[in-house]
Formats: sequence, C-alpha cells, structure tokens
Amino acid sequence: MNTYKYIEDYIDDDLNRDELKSFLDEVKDNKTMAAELNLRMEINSVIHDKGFSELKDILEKQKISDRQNNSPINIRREVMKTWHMAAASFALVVVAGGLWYILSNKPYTTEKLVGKYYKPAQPIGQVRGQASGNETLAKAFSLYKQNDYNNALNYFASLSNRITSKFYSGICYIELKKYDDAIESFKAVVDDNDNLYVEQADWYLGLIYLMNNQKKAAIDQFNKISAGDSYYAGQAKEIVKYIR
Amino acid sequence: MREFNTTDISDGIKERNSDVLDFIYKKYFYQIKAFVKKNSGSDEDAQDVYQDAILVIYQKLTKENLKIDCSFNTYLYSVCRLIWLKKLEKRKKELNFFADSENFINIDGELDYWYELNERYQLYQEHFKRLSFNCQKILELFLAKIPLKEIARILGLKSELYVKKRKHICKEKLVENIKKDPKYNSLRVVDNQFVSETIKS
Repeated sequence: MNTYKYIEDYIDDDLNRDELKSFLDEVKDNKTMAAELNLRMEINSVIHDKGFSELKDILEKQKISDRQNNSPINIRREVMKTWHMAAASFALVVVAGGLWYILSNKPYTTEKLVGKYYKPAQPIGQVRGQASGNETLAKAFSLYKQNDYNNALNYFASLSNRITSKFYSGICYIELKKYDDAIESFKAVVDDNDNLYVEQADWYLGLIYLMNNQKKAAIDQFNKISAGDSYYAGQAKEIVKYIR
Repeated sequence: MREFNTTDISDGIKERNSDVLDFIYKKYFYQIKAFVKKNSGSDEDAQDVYQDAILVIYQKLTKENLKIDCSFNTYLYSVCRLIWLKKLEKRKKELNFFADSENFINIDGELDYWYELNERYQLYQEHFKRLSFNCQKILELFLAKIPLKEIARILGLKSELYVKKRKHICKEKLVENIKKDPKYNSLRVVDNQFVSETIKS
C-alpha cells in the first residue's frame, strides 16, 4: 500500500484492526514514517483550529494598521502640524491639488476594475458518475467550457433545484450580459445559505452591480463582504477603495 | 480606553476578542517595540515578535490551559524577550549586550515547544490559504467530521467516493507544497509529540 495513503487512512480511522496493529508496530520503529505522520497530523490540526487562523488575521490587520499609522507620510504630517503651520497650509493646497488631479484621472475605470477582478468560475471536476443528473450537468459544463452559454443554460435549467446549477447559470447570465437574471440566480444561492457557493455568489453579485453601473449597490455589497471573514474580504476592500 | 485585568485578557485572547486584542496592542506594544529596537531590531521585527508572542500565548492558553500568575505585561514581555533572543540566535547576532527594559520571568524551558510549533503552524496555514477555494472547503468540512454524504450534498457532488478522492488530492497537494518550501527543512520536528501521544493512547 502507498505509505502516504496508509498514513492518511490511519488518521481518518479507515484501517481495520489488523491493519491498525501493523501500522502502529511499523510507526514505532520507522522514524521517517513517524515524522510523516506527525507532519500530516499537525497540518490537520491547523486546518481544524479556526481560532488560530482567525487570531492570525486579526493580528495581521493590527500590523498593517500600525504600519500605515507610522508611515513616513503620517509622521511628516504630525511634524508639520506642530512646527510649520503656514508651510503646511501651502503644502495642503499643493497636496489637495495633486489629489484632485489623481482622483480626476483614476487609474481604474469600472471596466478596468471588472477586468481586473472578474473571472468566470471554473467548472467543478467531479461530474463523473453515470446517473442521468450527472450526465446533464456534465453536458452543461462541457458547453460552458466552450463558452456556449445559451445552450449551457438550457441544461442548467433542467437541474434548477440544484445550487451548483443556479451558481453556474449566474455566470452564464453574466457572460450573456443578462444582469437581472444573473442577480436572481446568485441571490437564490445566497438565500439558501447552506452551500459552498455563498461567498462566491456574494462576490459575483458585487461585480454584477459594478458591471451594471449600480455604484451604490456595488459599494454596499463589497462593504458587506469586506466586513466579514470571506475569502474575498481583502479584494472587496480594495475595490471599494478604487470606486470611491 | 476600557481596562482589562489578566483574567479578562487571557479569556479575550482565547476568544479572539477584538476589544481585548486592541487593548493589549495599544497598551503594551510600544514596550515591545522599544525593547526590540534597543536590541538590534527594526519596527517590523517588533511587529513580528509581538504577533508570534500572542499566537504562542493563545496556543498555551487553549492547549495547555496556561494560568498567568504575574501581570500580563510581564508575561508578554518575557515571551517576546525569548522569541527575540531566538530570532537573534538564528541570525547569529552578538548577544553580549542584550539590554532589558522591563521585568521578566524565566520561562525558557516551557516556551521552546510552543514557539517551534507556532512557526510550523504559520507555515502550514500560509500554504493552506494558497489552495483553491474548493480544496480549502473540502478539507475544512472533512476535518470538521461532516459526514461524506453531507459534504457531497453541500458541494453539489453525487458521489461520496469522489469527495474522498478530492480530499486526498487536496491534502497531498498541500503536503507537497509545504515540503517544497525552503522554510520547511529548518522547521522540521525533532520530537514527534503528536505521534508519541497517539501511540500512547
């Protein structure tokens, strides 16, 4: 048996009694195997311990905020406030002028932002069974991969109760620029709230608002994402900064 | 600013309470920064030392039921002091003129294991976060002991067998990426504590 699989089966409690006994005997005498087992168990422990990850994220935010507060620009601003008020006023005019110039020449238009952040979701690769539902989904994904979104939608529609289908229908609608239909599909995914596509659907909703020039709705949506612990929180924060 | 005592702070770290974490940072970080900078470090080094120290304290609180019987300030300073000493040792810096700015307690022996574990955990977490969204979710759900059938339902998969296969692929990718990282060799475990505990049980 493959050693790594043997170790994983042990960790997952998938060995029968004889296999378990033989595994424990082997690991006692085999230092390499023991080290491999240790590594894999520690990795599992990290993934399982959400607290460690959450705490690290909070500390990272503190670090970033501290760096921003102590940036040379901020320190200089303090010095100027105290010692050179008159010069500061002049500098402020210059800086304000510069900022006005920069803001009126934003490097990111809506189109550029969408281009930077929007990527259609990749089809999931698990459609391998022979059940009729899976065959339909496989056909839908095949069309989706060929950018044949209209026909893909027909197949997704026949599986309309499935969250996966709703999610990918949403992407098809984006590609077809049918934004209202896309919003409806993603909202169904978000409202279900018990599936793995919720964070992605929330993210795509923000991007659709952006594509559809619904600036306020987009800002609200990205603010909602950045306030949570979504995978997309950092990117959502960046977008809000650019569109404001 | 609201004040917290040592017990509140210990509970707050365990619960990742932002008010408590902000309090600790605002109240004590400047001392750590002064100490690190006085001993050949930079602002960035001070931030890293502080972050490592809080993570180590979190591990000790949650896994070893640590009870802090001195002021939190002294304990934090002592942990940071040791971590900075270790980092300086790694950089092979001259330690003869090591200058302390606060009182500290001797916790040398009890910190090594947690410090090294923390370094490894950070490496593993870094690589875990680089996995695809779906790989992260499948591993999280699997380790949360969600039944395969339920994972298949949540992910929109028909076959439980395929959930297992995907989990295996994702885990192997993660292990492979960690092993390829140059930092991994310097952090390898000498004492396989997990294994020892498992075999004993």
